[in-house]
Amino acid sequence: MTKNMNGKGRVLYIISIVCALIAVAAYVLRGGDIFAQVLPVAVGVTIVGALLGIIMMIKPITPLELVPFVCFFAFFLIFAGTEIEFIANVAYGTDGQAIDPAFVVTALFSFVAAITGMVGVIKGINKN
Amino acid sequence: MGKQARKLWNVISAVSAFMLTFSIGATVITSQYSNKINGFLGIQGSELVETGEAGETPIYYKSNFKSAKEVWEHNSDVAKRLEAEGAALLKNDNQALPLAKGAKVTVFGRSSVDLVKAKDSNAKGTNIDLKTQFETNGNLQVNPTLYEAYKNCGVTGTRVKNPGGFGASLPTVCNVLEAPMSVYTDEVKASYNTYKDAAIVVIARDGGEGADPNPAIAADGDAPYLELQSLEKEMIQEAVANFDKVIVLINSSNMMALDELDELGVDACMLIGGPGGYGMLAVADILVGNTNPSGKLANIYTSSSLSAPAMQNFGDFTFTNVDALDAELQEAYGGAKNASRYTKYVVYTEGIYVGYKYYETRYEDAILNRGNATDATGASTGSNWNYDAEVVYPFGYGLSYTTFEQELKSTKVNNDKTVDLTVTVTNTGNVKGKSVVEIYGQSEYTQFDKTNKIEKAAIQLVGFEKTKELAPQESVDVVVNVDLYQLATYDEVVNKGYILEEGDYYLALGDDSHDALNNVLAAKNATGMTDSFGKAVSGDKDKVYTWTLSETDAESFKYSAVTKHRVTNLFEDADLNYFIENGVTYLSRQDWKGTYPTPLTLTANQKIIDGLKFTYKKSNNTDTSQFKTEQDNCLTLAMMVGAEYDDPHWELLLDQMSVDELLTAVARACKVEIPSIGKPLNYLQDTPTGFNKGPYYQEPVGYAELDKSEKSEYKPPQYPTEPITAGTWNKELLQELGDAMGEDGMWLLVHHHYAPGANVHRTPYSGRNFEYYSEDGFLSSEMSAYQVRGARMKGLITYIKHFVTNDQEMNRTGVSTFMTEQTLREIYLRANEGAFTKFYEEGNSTNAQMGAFNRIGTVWSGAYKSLMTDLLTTEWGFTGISDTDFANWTHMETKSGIMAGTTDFAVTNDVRAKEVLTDLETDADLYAKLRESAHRNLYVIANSQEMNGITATMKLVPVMTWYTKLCYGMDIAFAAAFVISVVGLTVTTYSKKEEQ
Repeated sequence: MTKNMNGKGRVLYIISIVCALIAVAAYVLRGGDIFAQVLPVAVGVTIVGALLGIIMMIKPITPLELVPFVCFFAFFLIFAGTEIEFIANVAYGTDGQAIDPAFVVTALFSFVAAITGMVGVIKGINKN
Repeated sequence: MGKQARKLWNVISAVSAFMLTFSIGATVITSQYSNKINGFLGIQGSELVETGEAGETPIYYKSNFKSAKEVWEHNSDVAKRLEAEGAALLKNDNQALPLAKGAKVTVFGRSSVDLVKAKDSNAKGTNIDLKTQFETNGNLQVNPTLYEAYKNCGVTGTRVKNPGGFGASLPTVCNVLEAPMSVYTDEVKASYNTYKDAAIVVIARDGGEGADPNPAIAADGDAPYLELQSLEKEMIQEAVANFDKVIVLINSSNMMALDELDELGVDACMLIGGPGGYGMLAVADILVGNTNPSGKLANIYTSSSLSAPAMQNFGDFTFTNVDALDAELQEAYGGAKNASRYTKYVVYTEGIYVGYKYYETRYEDAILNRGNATDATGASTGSNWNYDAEVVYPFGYGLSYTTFEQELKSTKVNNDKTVDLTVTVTNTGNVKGKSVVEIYGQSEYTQFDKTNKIEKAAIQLVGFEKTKELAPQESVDVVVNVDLYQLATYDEVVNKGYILEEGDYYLALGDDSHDALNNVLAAKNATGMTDSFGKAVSGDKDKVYTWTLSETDAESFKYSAVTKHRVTNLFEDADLNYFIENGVTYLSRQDWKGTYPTPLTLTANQKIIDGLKFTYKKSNNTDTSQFKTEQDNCLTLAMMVGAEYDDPHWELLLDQMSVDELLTAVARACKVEIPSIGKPLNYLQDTPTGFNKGPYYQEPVGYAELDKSEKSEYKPPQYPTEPITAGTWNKELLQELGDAMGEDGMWLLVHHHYAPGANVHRTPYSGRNFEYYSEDGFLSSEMSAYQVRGARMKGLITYIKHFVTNDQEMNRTGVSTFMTEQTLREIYLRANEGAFTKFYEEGNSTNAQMGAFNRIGTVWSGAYKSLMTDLLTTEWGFTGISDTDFANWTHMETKSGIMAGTTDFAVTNDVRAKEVLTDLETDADLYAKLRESAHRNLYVIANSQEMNGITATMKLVPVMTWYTKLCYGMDIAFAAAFVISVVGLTVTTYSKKEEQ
């Protein structure tokens, strides 16, 4: 297995999965409000992506290795889409609405997961 | 080669997968927020298509103009005339004004290059600055050296800002933004000699949405914000030291303390308020005598900005038991601890004694030696209370370049409980000018009042008219019709309604509120009176009409003049004493010393906590099968134009809509598209000073002809702020303003206007005084009524706001406001009443209102049925749009609001609709109210200029916007790239493996 690894791509791929799991954990822990609930589909997509990513590291199957970062990016977009009202509220100065650490972690880590996953795939997670 | 190809496919497939995900996301998000995006971009996501025979385009409300240029010329002239008639000349020693035409002046004050509420001024949409406006038509020549020095002095920024944002949860940061004295260099000083005719000093103050100016002493020990700051005094001293004439212009809609101007040696002073885009042209005309000033103050001006009793309970107040409140309420508000302000309160402890009604009433009691009026309590000087020391310029005050005599010629009492006072006005001076006839009233403060919690102001405005322009020595008879309803007292204890009590009544003519009161005192044979400058006067009893009512009349105003319903107590639970026995003693003229307010510290008891909880209770009436949806009744909204409100076709139209469309019409703001009835997306504007949009279309097109018209180069003017428009005391001019705004809406394709504002200047420090007319309910009521009438005659939808008691910005999003029913009715509701009732019969009363974020008592105003239904609809006959304002705070609970009478939630997301949906199918009462709300909203829209150009046979069909096309294009391109690259990648990967 070690023989099949491409160092940088594989590391990025692992970072991508870890970031996605951190992002989804922050998302769930952050909870929802009346403007945006925690969406099971967003959580599901990310978990599926992470599981598939782990499988791909064990047994890479082209082109399924693309799927995890697509899932992570989809999670990021779902999150961004549902939080537009929240972002507008923060910009508007709505009471009690301020950018919170969990929001930053979710947004940042999910985006980083998508980017690192894509770059990891480009670099190659499988030496062959 | 194979390895390189695989690498290439790998890169392409990864990037295309990423981009495809992005473009699909963008497609979904833009689709979800298309209404907002379309509104922002000013485009339609659908178009009206004629399905019948093409005929003449229906124009229900016609413009008076043929081109955008004509509209612009007319409306900018209205803006200019408002300032010309609303600016109040307050001081003119030694006839410092008018200046000679073409006078060379030096303008002091950095605000001269950064005026407050004056922007977007000319046809091209760029500012016309003060210098340009002053120099137009050769009126004045402005010292360019100092003007440029201010521009380059490096001082910029925001004058008033709340770090807590629009929610206004923190004290504001206030800046005067005056230039340092170092700006007056030798070069600047040398320039004075060339521009020596006068020094004109601009003093500016600002407020803002969510931003009350801060009344605290400035951090550096300087005066409170609405008083002159050290730097400003130094600047005025610089002007006084170098110029023979010093004229101060007050560029503020918040009432400033101006007593120090005398001490500083200022010769003249004029209130210019927020002049809007063209107001400084009018100010220049006044300065050089082209225009004779005729504005009168819409507020009293005092020597201390803090001396009003309302200031004692203005600002940030928190119940002491925050933990208990959190424990019971946090969950009810969705866990959003700070989002509903349930821990905040403000108590209107001053009762009806707002603005001049406090100072003048206390003055009368001081003259008549009653009620401990001269006690030091509440005196800003620290010694005995004295009117002369407290007041600088009374309500209704304003000078002219000519003199007028006003004589009460005759009085006629009519059968409809009105009195006609005929006043002969003569211009006794040498220049032409306009005069304002002001009629004030007083009803006796009786033992009955003292026993039954009734307060009475010693003087109150009850009627006024402005004359035409009178030539020197010209006379005119002006008839002022006074409705005795304005003098009736709301008795919430015994009669539970408006009464005219037995006792003495006075109607007095006066140059201002103080002059009128002195005339009343003269009629009472009182002595010891002084004018507003402390000079002994005797008053003039010949300017007073007096009568005595021998027994209390509880019948004349027992029923609503509009709907004939019994007027009775509705707001007992707005009074703090309803919740806490003897929780507050309101200010009473029985004892000024003993009842003068102090800041109130409160602990919320269980009754308050219970009141703060949500009020929606699902009804037991669960059968909603009676309500039809998606019926094919072949109706369009355009077919309902002109139909009566109770026309049965409305029900058929509602039956045609889907549940989702019903929700759209109510819970997603009624401004978005409703395809089944052919209602297009429409636009709104949220500024009482005009339409900050533009430019105009080249024709006043309807939605159906959007594609046929181009934008012109002409932008709508910014009008002066409301304290100036009220300061015109010219009802006809306010109607012209409404008409001009109606034209603006027509030529901009913006038909919903969140204006006028009719909250009350409870204190000088409300951040949005610039959007509200006055401290006086009657003046606000009259001015809003006429402005709305003008706008309605042009088909504009007018949202009078913020209904009601949003009289401070601090904690406005949920703060509990407490007051007596008499106070609420006679001061705060009165300010709005005229817009709803005065032109009700002719159909030109307001057809929309915007609610307030605050609570009244403990209930959010929009969910307060007593207000939204029992008063607005039952008493005032209102069946228009009741809008929430931005429905983004958790205490603005949707179902409670709808059940109480709110018809429109100003959001375009799904949150409010989802809230309603949770119970809609099993709550027939809620369903019925939802339909009623949609009915009201659509009725208003059907009878507005929004329907111009829409025929009965037009259908609304979706169109693909440019950004949708872009998204779909990206989707296709990236999908193709992805598929091809994946195929390539797969082929190269597995062929290589096979080779191996």
